[in-house]
Amino acid sequence: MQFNSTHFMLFFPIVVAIYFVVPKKLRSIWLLVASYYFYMSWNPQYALLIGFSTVVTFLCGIGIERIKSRTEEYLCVGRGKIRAAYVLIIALVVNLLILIVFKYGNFILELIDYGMQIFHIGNFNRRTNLLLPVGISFYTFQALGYVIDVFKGRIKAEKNLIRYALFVSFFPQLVAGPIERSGNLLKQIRSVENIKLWNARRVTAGAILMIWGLFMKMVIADRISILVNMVFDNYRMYGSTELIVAAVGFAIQIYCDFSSYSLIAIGSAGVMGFELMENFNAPYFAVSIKDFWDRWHISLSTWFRDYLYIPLGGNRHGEVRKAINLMIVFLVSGLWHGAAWKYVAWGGIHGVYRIAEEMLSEPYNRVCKALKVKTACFSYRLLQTMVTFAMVTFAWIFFRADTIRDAFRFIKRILTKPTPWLLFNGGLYNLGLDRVEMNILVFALLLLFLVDYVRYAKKQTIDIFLLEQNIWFEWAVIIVLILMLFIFGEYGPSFDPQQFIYFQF
Amino acid sequence: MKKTVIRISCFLILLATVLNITNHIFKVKYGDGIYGCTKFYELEDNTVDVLFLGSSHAFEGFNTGVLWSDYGMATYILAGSDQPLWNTYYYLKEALKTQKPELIVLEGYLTTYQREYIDDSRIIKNNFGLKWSGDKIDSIKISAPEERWGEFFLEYVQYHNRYTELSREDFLPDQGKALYRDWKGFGCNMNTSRLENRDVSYVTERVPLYQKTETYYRRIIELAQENNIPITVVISPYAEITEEQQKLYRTAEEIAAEYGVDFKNYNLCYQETELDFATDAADGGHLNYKGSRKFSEAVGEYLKNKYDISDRRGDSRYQSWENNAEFIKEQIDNQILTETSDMESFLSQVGNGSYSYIISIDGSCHSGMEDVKAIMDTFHISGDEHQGIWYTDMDGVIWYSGGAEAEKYIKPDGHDICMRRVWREDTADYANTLVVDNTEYKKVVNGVNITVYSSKTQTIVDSVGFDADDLFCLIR
Repeated sequence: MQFNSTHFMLFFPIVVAIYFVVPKKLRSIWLLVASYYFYMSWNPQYALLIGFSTVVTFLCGIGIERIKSRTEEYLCVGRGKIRAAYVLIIALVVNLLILIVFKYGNFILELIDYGMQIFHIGNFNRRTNLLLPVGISFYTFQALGYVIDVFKGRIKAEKNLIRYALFVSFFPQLVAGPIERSGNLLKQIRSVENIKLWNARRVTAGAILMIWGLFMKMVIADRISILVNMVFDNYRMYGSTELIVAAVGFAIQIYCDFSSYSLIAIGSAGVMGFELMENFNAPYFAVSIKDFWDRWHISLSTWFRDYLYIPLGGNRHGEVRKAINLMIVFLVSGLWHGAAWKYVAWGGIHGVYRIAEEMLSEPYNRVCKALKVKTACFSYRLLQTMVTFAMVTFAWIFFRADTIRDAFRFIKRILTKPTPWLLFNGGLYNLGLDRVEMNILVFALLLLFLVDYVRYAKKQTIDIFLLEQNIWFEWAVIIVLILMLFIFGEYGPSFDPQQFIYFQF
Repeated sequence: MKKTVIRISCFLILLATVLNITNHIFKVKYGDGIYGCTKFYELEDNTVDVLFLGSSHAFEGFNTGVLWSDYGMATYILAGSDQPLWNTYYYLKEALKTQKPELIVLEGYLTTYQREYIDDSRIIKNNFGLKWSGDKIDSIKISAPEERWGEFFLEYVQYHNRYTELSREDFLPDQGKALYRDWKGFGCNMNTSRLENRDVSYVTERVPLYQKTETYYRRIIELAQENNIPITVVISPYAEITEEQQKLYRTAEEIAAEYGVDFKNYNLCYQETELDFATDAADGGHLNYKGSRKFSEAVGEYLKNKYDISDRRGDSRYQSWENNAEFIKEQIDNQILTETSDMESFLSQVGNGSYSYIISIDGSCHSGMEDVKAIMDTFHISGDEHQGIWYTDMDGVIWYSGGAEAEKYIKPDGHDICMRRVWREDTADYANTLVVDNTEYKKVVNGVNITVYSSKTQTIVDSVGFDADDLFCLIR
């Protein structure tokens, strides 16, 4: 059940309506039932896996806390700490094994096969036919984060399985995030009975976020994907202009696609009285790669920071170790996105960017100072933003191409097949979007720019911004967005619906 | 709390209004299925005496104008393109909610339909025109496989992306067309294909109808009989009838006989209709304007003799049928005019309709020339003026410019017409121009240009030129 499906358009109001009227004590049960129904609408068998992961991490959390509750032994003798660590390791191993088997099984088998061929040991031509459960990377990371938090003493273990199961499977953010922390979402679930549901401002804000999310997905992402798919799938038939347009198009597509999911998740949770963490903060206004990662997929970036980068030593052991840690984090992040080398390459490129940024920042600043470059002005920030966007877009080519080899060929054609005349002779209208569709896209992108600029400059999300305006403006914007969704949204029988890209991760 | 409820209610009302207007603009308005329903719902209750049902064979065959002007029958064709009989059944159910006709005529071409479901566009055309009711839901359910019901229940999904094809018609009542003002469902086909008559009278064999088709064929008859309304089955004549179809018609005839229902296959009665498919066919399956007239005269005669049908001519309640008949006549007159190919036939035909004319004498041509004089005499324009541009009708000249520069703007029925006479330095002569809705009409540089406008159909009917450099031959 996708957020932009009629199924969800029926499901969500029904869930909310019942949630608003059931006795307070039944709220979490109702949301759990709804969440499992939501997840099982893809494949009922998936529920077994998420259920298993939930029970394991639930029991491990309780186990760790029980061991820790024997305070004297835990603190003085240290054996308790070791036992707690064993339980933590069980949780980590079980969950990562699930992830490895279901997500990386075939990737590992391919590696074994490749290795055997290199050493002439023979062929190992076997593959699993396990279906990749949607959102597996999201909920396993969320559950693991909880167990680590319990181990670190950041949160008390949850004793109520229903509440904990709801934390792992909360339907708005179940399949594509934001990856929530127990310190935020679990705490809210624990006090679900106290949530004041009838809050018009909060419900309106949630609805605005959902509408804007659907707009980003159905009007922008799914429209631009037509152009992106056409060019990337046949990149050998195109020259530099089309390829650059497609690469930039994919940068926009993946942002709108992924950000839209997060917005609908945050909005729908908001309607029900939950506050999820922000996942995107005008990322293409970033002035450096570090800034970009502070704004892009924030819930994942901070997860890796808290549960991988810092435990690896972070920046506490010198520059070389910091560089190694950064590279590890980005390679793992790449692998998290998919079981293919191209994702590893994408992560690696960002790792190189970050390390280079760290190493070159001081000499670069000295050069700027020596050349008296003004760094506090608009033009400098604009240049930084443009360079950052270009670097990020370059890396997206590896992400979107079928293989690393295709990505290199794609880049080679950009450099060797110039077609600048297409900017002037209307040739760009032959890439799947005619003049009308392109005009709609440009108008929608202008709206996107304005909304992101408000987020960047005024630090206000669209819901907060609109609720602060006069009512005629607020209503006009909402009605225009809804109208554009109805008219220009990509849906219906003639349209091949695009799944949210991040569902595969 | 009260303030919040009011605020939310106002917003929802505003949103619903905007979406409703949008829906009206975007919804499909096909004449071959959907708009027939729209106009049917506008009819005054219990005014239709003969209700025709069926497919395109019905709405291109039965000329409602002829049936009115020759027999006084108040008819309506509630049909749809390639309409399967299950949709016809629900059309009939819908019709009987507001009308109690004296006779139902089922055009039975689709008794030959042999599949479970028809293509998507026909599902849309044969369902979307109906008002929402349990019958419409049942109609959609029987029209499409279960897994696709959602696509057709949420109609807007089917047409939301029409934004690239929106036109003037989508924004105006009756699509801005005079055709639909008093329309009774007849689609006058102006094409002509030279085809031959086929004789299938020798086919006596029968083959069973497709199960689903037969079920709804029977249901239509039963529904009419339950409502005590006589029903008759008619097969319209068409050029490309096959032996296989004739075998199915034989079965359909047998089933009709089971219920005591008259069945008439006009493919076996060419002598009665005097149809000649060399001139009367629009294509292999349909009659053209000439064929539909002959066929409708025969059908009218048949129905008049066989059933007791009221003659409503002269009844002011039925003015709409009179208007419809006049419109259809004008449509056909327009067509005949456009088929003329020489001056004589053009001038003999041009006075038949509710026309106005814009005539200009251009180049070195002048009204002193014999052929030009003959033309101007037809339009009752005196020969005193040698050159210029005239706006006239058969009652006399409305505007004329033959000397100095002048221009005239008129706006008949929402059209923008500009007639202009200007001095041109390059030719050192006056030039006449006619622009209608941003399109310039001028066929010859040296000769007489005539543009004919019909106030009844609200269209430019014809634009011709008589070329003085080529013996005044007709240029179109």
